[in-house]
Amino acid sequence: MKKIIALALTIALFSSNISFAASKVTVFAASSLTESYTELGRRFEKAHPGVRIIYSFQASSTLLTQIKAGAPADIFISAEPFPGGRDYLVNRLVLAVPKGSFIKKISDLNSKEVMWIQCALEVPCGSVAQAALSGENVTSKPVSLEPKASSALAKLLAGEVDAAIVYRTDVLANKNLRAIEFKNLQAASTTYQIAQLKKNRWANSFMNFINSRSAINYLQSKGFDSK
Amino acid sequence: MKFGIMTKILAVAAAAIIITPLVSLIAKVPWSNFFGSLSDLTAIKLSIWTSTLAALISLTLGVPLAWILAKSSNRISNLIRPLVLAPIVLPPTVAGIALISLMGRNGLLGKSIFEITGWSMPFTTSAVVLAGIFVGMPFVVLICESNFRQLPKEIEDAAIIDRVSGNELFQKIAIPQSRSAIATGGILAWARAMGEFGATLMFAGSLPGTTQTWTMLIYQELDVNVDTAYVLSAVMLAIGVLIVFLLRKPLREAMQ
Repeated sequence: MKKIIALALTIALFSSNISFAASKVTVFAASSLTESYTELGRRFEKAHPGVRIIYSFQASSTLLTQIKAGAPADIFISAEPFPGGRDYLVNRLVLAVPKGSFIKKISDLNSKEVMWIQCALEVPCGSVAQAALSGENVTSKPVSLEPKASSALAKLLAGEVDAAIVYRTDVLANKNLRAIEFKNLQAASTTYQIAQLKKNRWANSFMNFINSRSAINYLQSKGFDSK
Repeated sequence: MKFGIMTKILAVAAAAIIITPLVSLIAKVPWSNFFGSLSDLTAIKLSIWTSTLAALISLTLGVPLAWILAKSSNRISNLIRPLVLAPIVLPPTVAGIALISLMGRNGLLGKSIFEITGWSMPFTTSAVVLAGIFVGMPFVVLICESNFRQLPKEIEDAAIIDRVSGNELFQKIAIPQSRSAIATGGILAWARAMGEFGATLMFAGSLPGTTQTWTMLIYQELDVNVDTAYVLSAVMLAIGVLIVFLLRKPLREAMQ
């Protein structure tokens, strides 16, 4: 019995070590920001030893639901506008295909046996995809409506589909992918909004960092436009 | 029997941890809009028929496997037993990756199937059923095997004396004797398939009418229309409680 209690205590201590870290900033960010923000967080942590950036990357709508339910986010970056948000970055949806794919233009999605996916209409990457597609002559249907951009991308990278409507930044980050642009670039564009939900020293500091010239330059090199 | 005070406190805490969230869920259900939220039954119907099919297949295949595992103790059966029970403790996402690596378009088996026929399993309703079998059948095997092992030795001895073949022993004696266990295993497999989420999302995707299951719809509606998510969850909870209630007798027998 004593052994079991000791073991339980040890597990509890180890699993809660996050709360013992000196300082942390919790950032809720759209799943399309996973790669670039993980890198930005790494740079920030390097410059500020002892501070940890904790991310939750999910569909923006999911994150907003969680924040409304009281999730402890210091900073929220959404792929669509939300109450209290300020314009931050611009990204664009494209049709991503593997390099060397026979799909050369958007209307090739109509050819038989092409399997393609997009996000569900309830999340930003899906509603924007629908707007972008309305300017094209696509009559075929996606094989799945994914709950977030990163899961659509994952299925393309796994080779389970021939094409996916994802963010241009995702394509730039993957050497094996090629982007096919929509005719209506405006309709395919999304504006990310940001808000700092809690004021504390390190949240302020990280907020300054991700708005700094060097961070914006880095984000631009990854394919985002600043707003 | 008299219970110690500490035992009572711990027991109450245990019950409260499980019961209070369930009661809170029911309390939040928007009853005025209950049937309005259930206007589209596509996902519910899909979940019910795919998990029923998954449970039937799990029983058809799982009961013979349980019989063989129960009646043999060679190296192969000792190796297979933990492997077929693994999905019970496996995180659903791991199950999803495993299924993709077998049946995906680039999977070990799926690649050849795709090259020959042009068909691949991901994003089809068969993928939902296969995911359900993968996570559900282990319950059939687990419960039926332990039940077959407890078949009284005298019955087996009598069968040998009466020159009853092994197959007859299985079909005419073991199966009828294990009705409770088979029912329990089948219903647990059905419930597990119905609740499946992670593996289905990875392996089957989410498309209304084809692969969007009940649980997938709950996940989506939570961001769009919370009321609908609560109603869908409450109905699933009701089904779950009903299952456990109906199962109370066979469950008790199967556990003995």
